[in-house]
Amino acid sequence: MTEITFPAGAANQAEADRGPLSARIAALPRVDRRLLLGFVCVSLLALVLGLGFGLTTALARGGMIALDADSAYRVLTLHGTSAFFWWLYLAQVALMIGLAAGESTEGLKARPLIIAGVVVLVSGLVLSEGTALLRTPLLYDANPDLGREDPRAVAGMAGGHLLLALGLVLTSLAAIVTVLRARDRVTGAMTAMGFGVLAWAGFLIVSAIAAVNAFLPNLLWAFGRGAFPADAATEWHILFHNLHYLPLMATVLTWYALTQETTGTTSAFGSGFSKVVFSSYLVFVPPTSLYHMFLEPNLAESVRVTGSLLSLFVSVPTLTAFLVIVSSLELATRAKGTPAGLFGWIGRLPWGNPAFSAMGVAIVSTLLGLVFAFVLIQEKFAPLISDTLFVPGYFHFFAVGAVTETFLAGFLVIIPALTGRAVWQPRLMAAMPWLVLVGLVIFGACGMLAGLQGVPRRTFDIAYDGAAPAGWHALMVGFAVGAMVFASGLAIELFGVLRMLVGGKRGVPMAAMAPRPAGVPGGAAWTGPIAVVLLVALMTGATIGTFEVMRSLPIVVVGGHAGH
Amino acid sequence: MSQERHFTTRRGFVAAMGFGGLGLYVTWAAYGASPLPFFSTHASDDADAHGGHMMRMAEDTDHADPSMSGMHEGGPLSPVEFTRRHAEFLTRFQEADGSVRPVAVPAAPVHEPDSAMAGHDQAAIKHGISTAEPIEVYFLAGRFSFEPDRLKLRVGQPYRFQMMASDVAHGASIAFGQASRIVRLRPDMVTTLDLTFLQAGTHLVYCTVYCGPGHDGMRGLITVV
Amino acid sequence: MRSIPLEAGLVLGVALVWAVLAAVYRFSPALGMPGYVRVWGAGAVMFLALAMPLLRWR
Repeated sequence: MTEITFPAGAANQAEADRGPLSARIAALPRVDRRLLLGFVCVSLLALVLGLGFGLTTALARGGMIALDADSAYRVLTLHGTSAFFWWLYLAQVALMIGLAAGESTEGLKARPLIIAGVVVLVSGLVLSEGTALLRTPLLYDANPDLGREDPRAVAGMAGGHLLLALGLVLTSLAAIVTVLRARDRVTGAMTAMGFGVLAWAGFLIVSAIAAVNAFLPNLLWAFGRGAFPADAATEWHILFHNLHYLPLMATVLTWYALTQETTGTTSAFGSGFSKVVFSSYLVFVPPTSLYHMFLEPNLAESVRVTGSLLSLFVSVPTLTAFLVIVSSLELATRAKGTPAGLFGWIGRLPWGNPAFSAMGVAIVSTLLGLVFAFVLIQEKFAPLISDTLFVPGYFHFFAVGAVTETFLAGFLVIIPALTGRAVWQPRLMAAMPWLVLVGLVIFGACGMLAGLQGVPRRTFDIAYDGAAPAGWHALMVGFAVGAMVFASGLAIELFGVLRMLVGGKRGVPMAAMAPRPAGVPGGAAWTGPIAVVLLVALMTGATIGTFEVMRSLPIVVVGGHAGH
Repeated sequence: MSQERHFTTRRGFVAAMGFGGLGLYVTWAAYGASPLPFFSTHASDDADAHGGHMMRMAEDTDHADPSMSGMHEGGPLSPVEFTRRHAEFLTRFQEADGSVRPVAVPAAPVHEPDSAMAGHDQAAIKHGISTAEPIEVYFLAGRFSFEPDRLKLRVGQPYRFQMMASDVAHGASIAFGQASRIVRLRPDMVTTLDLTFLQAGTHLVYCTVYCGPGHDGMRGLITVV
Repeated sequence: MRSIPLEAGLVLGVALVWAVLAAVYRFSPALGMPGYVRVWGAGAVMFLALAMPLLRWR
């Protein structure tokens, strides 16, 4: 008989005893600090490109700048490629390597893999951006159908994505080796973060396999070595599901580290429970993958229905992690005094710390995103909102508000530790995430309303020579205004981050809190559960609203599937 | 940590709350859109006749079975058969101004509704929808136009849209002002959709899947009288 | 009674879930998506391999 040992208190104490992450990063060998800075710089370059092309896209869609069709779709391709593939994944590599290195007193292991990873990833970035800039725009999914007359475009985009996959494998292997070697020498136990990095790196490797499954056939066809990849759309969906889940897992792991770093709070539920939560991402990924395909005509009805049901589980890991973090923070803050009322403790959190402020906005943005993500998982709504502006309207709450803000928050901790430069204008930097959130709310509200009305997701000229419904244009203007607002906030944050790399004042980093185990002195933690109840109520409201919009259509519809 | 934990700080409670999103199932069930029969309530006839949110699937359920390809009567169309019928459809129903006005073929077979259809038909009668056999409409999407790009249809008349993309993936969305109804079309894959328009009006039809540089101009009109 | 570390148990659990999903996609004709079999199957093998060093410590 075998039983699984479930460490709690002891492992928590060990995590608390290690000191702040920033101090551990600052103590890394010079070569590791340089490697880490290299990844941070390259990822920020991708963010600059993604943000610039994204804003251009939104302004063009709002009719504020004029682009011809070729330029417009090229800009959209560059935006998706830069932001989704390169920023989100290079930043993940930087954070994964940083958190892995922070686990070990000796720094990174398997450095040659990381050095090779840098070379491969930079080559991939150049190839992707160059192809998107110079060849037929295929959009970020590198659709080979659109490149039948331009196989070089297919080869370049697929090649770039495959180099990204290879770079992820190399760096993930190094991260795995690092955290495995950092285990307790006596018991072999890992910290929650060490295990989280292991699971994250493993998931990155599987996603690289999914990328090979999706893009290698495209590359072979482009080189005349294989048949045309007829299943490219399905293979892309398989990869995409992993790709959009991974940044969320990385986000939650970063929250875990940031909570400890900025407030000194470790999980009140023990490191063992955190490990279960981290690994639950890997359990809930495969079964929830079908909802991206609800509009595909060849998807069997039974699969569509099963996929809808399974998709209800998509938020389980994120909501559980949210509860762990919020309840731990509430307990730790209440333990310091007695803040008034149910939510008074929230005001005692370190909102003046830019990293914490960005994390707070990220948590709010995640909850907002979840409200509308749960509209999309109902397969009956696919013919109403899939392929419309509803999709970018909601997912920017995740991509920008949740993930990008979290990754920048992580950088606000890591970079000062690496460069010795203080955070630029901390009060301004702490305010900017809220400006980003305001912009996202405008952008998301207009985008989702426009999507509900049928505005297509990837069409620049939606006037259709005056045949389009009257309300579309005004919503597109709001969409562009929202983009301008959040892009402004993000640009200022980005500038502040860059100032910590170049030309900023040398000084003491933001005060890192010494971690301590969060005690549970019989107190209650109601904020997290209330937030979840509120979230479900909002999800319900959004779902009912969408059902009612659907009922209002003056048609009766039966079917919508293909024979073969 | 010897003190008793409050239930809100117990691992089991937190883990259970993590499944809070499943609460949405109740709403799905209330609208008759729950994937499982648990708590499911059947949508009213009213709901069925507005917006089609209770989309009853066609009689043949094994749509993913490749062995079905090539079947015509009562089954999905093969691309070759679709192309033949599409050409015939345009020839037969095209009017002098280039628009297409499909009308019922006199020899159409009588449709025997099964028990599941019975409720639907009652709802249809209530809403002034003809219970006659749907009129076939053949709709082809290709870079960068729809064929036909102008359709003239009648209020209350069921139409069976047989649709296919000829080259790359396309979308076909019908704009109703307050919302749209989208279908994604894949090359050489015939998609079937039965549509009955309940009100007169002119509706924009547009491509929702980026298909190349002429994508923005890919549109048509459906006029319902 | 032999105990295995929590970390190894969790990673083995993940490998099992992915293997089951790969098998479901492999043997369910309605799904018809072999790419899922390849990706989830490879993932199951990868996580199984990842569990090995976690098991070997003790």
